[in-house]
Amino acid sequence: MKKRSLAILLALMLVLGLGSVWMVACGEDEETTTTAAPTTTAGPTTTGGGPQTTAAPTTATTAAGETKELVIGGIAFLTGPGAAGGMAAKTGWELAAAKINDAGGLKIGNDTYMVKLLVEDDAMSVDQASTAAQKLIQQDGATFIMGPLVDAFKNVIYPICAQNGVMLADVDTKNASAAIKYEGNTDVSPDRPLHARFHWANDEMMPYLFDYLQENYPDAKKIAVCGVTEACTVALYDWLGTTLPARGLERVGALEQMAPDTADYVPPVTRLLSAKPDAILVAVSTPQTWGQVTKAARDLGFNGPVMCSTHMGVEFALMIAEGAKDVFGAGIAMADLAGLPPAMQEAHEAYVAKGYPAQDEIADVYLVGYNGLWVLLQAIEKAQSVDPQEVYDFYQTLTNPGDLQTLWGDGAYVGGLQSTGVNAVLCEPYWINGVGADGVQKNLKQVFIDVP
Amino acid sequence: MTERAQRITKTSAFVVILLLVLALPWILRGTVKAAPYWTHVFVLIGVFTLMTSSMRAIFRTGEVSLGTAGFMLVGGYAAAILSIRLGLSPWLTMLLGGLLSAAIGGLLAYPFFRVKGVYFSITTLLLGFVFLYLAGWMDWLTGGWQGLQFFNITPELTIGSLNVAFTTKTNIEYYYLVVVVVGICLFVLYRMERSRVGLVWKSISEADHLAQSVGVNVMGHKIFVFTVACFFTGLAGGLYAFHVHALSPTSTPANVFHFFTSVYCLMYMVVGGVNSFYGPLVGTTLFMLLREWGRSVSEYWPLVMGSILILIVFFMPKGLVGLPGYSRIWYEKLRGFLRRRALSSE
Repeated sequence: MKKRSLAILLALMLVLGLGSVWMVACGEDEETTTTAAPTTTAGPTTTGGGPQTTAAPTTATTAAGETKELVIGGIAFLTGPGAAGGMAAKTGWELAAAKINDAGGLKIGNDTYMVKLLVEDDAMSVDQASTAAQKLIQQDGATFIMGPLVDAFKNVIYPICAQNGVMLADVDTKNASAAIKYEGNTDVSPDRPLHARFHWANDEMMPYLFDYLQENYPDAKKIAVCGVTEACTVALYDWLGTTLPARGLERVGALEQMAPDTADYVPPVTRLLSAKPDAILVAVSTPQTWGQVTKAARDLGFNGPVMCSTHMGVEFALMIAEGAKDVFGAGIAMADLAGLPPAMQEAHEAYVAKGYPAQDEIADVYLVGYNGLWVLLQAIEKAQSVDPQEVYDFYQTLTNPGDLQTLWGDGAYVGGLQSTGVNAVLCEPYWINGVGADGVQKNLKQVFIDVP
Repeated sequence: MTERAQRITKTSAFVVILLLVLALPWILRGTVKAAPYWTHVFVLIGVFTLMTSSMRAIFRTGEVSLGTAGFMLVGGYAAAILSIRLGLSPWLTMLLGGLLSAAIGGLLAYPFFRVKGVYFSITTLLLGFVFLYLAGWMDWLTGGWQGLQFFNITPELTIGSLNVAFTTKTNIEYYYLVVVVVGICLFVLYRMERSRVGLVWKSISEADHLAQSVGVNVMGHKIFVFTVACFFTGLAGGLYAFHVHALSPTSTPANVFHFFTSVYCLMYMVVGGVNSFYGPLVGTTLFMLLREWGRSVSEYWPLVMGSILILIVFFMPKGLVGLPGYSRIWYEKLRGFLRRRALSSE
């Protein structure tokens, strides 16, 4: 009797389950037609095949001269071991949003849009990143998403954005651009519409680091390469095998990969030094890697230059490798603010006014966040639309030097067609910072990262 | 209430809850703004419920396994890798992921159960770390620390002319998949617990030497339940993999394959009610919903969770499933207190 009733219950469950699946399948058409309705309003229309109600809150009314709200979502790691970086990016976004709102918002046609910034935590977890994106898009109505800061998570977020007709704005550096071929590359490409990049990739920055190396350390010919254990690091190492000889440099030794939570850097750096290099390149770095490699190298008696192509304030590396000299990489040294562009100084004043220290070691990250949102908002205003597709399309036309402003200096524009297959990469000035033989932290050189 | 009436009440409650679970996506569509997002949250709740229930099955023999996240990793990665590299159907690979997890669990169960209590917990905990770091270092197979992404692989079901793809577009299809799979697994676990085998597990938990002295094969039963639990945990990993479409072995505490996931499952189990089959269901649902509602204060989440756990342990050792009973006791106590005060004031 018991067995029979249990069998009936199980059968009931299966039947109801299959019935529900059938209901879902039959309900597909209904989903599309009901959610298409908001696009008939005169405001910016949404694109993409997925549920498109997300744009509705910002576009429901179109009376002239109205003040509206533009929801922009940000995803960063706000908790966990990397929280300092995520919180810094969040601060940068908040400062950029406040700057625009304090200046009266974005003027789109007759309307004024106030930026409503919502930042969610991905906790460096795949499912949390996915949940954060779904919440921002579906519940909060975000039509533009910035982040996530972890490169690999961009492949998790992008499909969710694309399904919902939301633009993904990549505001942080990319470990490797689309020009570096490897499985899982997260860069913009022709088959990733609505994905734009607002910062450079490590391989795009490296030539400028090598220029600086050759100008200032002409005897340094042999370069040992290390980086965080990732597929992109291997791909970059392979790429350097042909790039360095073309510049009269030599890649020596095997690639040393270091897991993000490596505790002892002496063994990998010992192996790195066994190739007798003149210089060390940290091709992909966590906030710790550059400093830890430098410290281990100096402890082991290596005095050659140590360079890093992931953006980072040199102060951060020197927190670990205290007193190290001949260290340089992409980044902004806040100890040398005087020579930096006015926009960056203004941003930094606002940062300090919020109670942060003037020479904050993590400041480089907030500046990248600030710059990313600022460029996105410029693109929106120039496109005269808050529709993600229209903004994305217009962004691709901003190809003239000076079309966009950045914190790092003037002359920014959109490029990347030749190297990534799509004009969706911001070409911008940036800085090499470091510590020379004099032991002073400074911004050593301004470069312009031109992505063909 | 007669036994028959009790049975009717229980069955009715079960059917009502079942109908509610099945109607949930439609209720969400009609009531909340972001139905797909909340459906996604309930998918994750389903996956974690299965993991917590599996952990509880092992706990029925008196041991606490902290390797849940590790076995979930094995199942998830196996399912994903088999689909990506060999092109096998996700339906098959989810099952194979569970079987691989069970096979590893079965092989390791004997040496692990040679130790008891905290030593068993530590060995399972370390095993979880071993799996995590293996996934990170075996980059030729697992994609290394960067992980795997496989958005183009989705379970599909074709019934006649009807084709259903279990995508993340609305999450509804996947929700029902999770309901059916988790429902069947929970049903099996429930039947095992209520059968003679379940009684044997309880006897092992309460006095294993006594159970052995009356002829119970203690080691055999422990290995069996561990293997079954690993199978279900691996299956949960497969369900997770094809929903999120990305796996990563990063050693950050929030990573689903990190040791903290096992600790969270333990908390869900204790808060829900460790002695009730429904405890993991209640604990997981409540905590995960609370966590989602409290996103804006996520940095304080461990503090909130810890505080709730301490309060539950002190004031409701039977967990939240014991709330009706506790409510009656607290009510009687309050009434008695008020009555005594009234008498003393007279």
